[in-house]
Amino acid sequence: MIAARGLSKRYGFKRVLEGLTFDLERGGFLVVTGPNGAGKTTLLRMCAGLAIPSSGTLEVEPDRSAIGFLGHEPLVYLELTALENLDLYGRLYRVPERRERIGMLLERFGLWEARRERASAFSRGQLQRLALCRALLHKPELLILDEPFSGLDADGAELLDRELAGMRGQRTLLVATHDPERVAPLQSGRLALA
Amino acid sequence: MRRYLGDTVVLARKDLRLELRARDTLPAMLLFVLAIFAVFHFALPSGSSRLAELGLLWVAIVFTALLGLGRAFVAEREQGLLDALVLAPCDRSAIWLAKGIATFAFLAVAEIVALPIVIGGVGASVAGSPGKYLGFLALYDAIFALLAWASFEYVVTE
Repeated sequence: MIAARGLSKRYGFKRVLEGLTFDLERGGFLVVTGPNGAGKTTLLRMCAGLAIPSSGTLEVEPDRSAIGFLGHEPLVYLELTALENLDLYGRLYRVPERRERIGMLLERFGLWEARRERASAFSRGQLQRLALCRALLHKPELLILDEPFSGLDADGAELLDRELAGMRGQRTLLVATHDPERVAPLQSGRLALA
Repeated sequence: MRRYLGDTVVLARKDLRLELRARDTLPAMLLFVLAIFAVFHFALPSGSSRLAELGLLWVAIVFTALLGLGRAFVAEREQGLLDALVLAPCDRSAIWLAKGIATFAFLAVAEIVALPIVIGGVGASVAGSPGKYLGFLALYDAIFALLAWASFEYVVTE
């Protein structure tokens, strides 16, 4: 699903990643760890097609329509409601039975009651839940999550644990986290960046 | 093509809805066009040629359009949303075309405000041939929309 060979990334003179080689098979769950500035986010952005490697090769099997991406930003329009945001992405991704799928996700992530509220009124945790709904909306084959537990309360984190456990083996997951032990039972491999 | 147009409509509708809620762009354009005509009103000496006055109308519209274009990506820039749009499986030029359509709509509103001011305030009389001037404005808008789309396409391609 993902094959990286000698992957490097530089921003000007700053070297962020150097000579990284790894494989992630279909259905695998790769956890990326490392201190701040180690290049976790850069690696995830390259895998999502949002950044270009400076050198090396990176092959990602599904095209962007089959990638779900959760970054540091929730990637939702703050002036739109939760429902409007998901409807926008649902239309762009051509999600079949869009309304049912959106309703189901909002219910599952505890946002149904707040569905007609603007995202600007959401708490950090609610925004993260909405961002997860957006990333999962089109049932992506490859799910790339950057610090998915960030901002979630205990209930939200447990909910995400269950979601990730439910996806194991069915979807390919690439997850960057500072809390690798949380997902240790699920992972099929770990990539430690220095 | 149908899919492309569908994506463009979805994105343009989103931009118009955002403007209705956030009012980031249109008030700035209206304020600018009103301010520039107020300045012209006092700056132009009495008895200025009609040609000069009409030229200033175009100057005002060009700068108002540039202001609108400059603010077209405020939400995406501030909230990092370009990533989400670029990841979506739509043609990237549809994103830019939708922005062009939304900016075009805002510019049309600004022109609706500007034209009566020119007729009555600044002194450039188009009372004799308002149809001709509306035609010119429509032509200008069409050229502006095409230029905006072409430049967006260039940016995306490069």
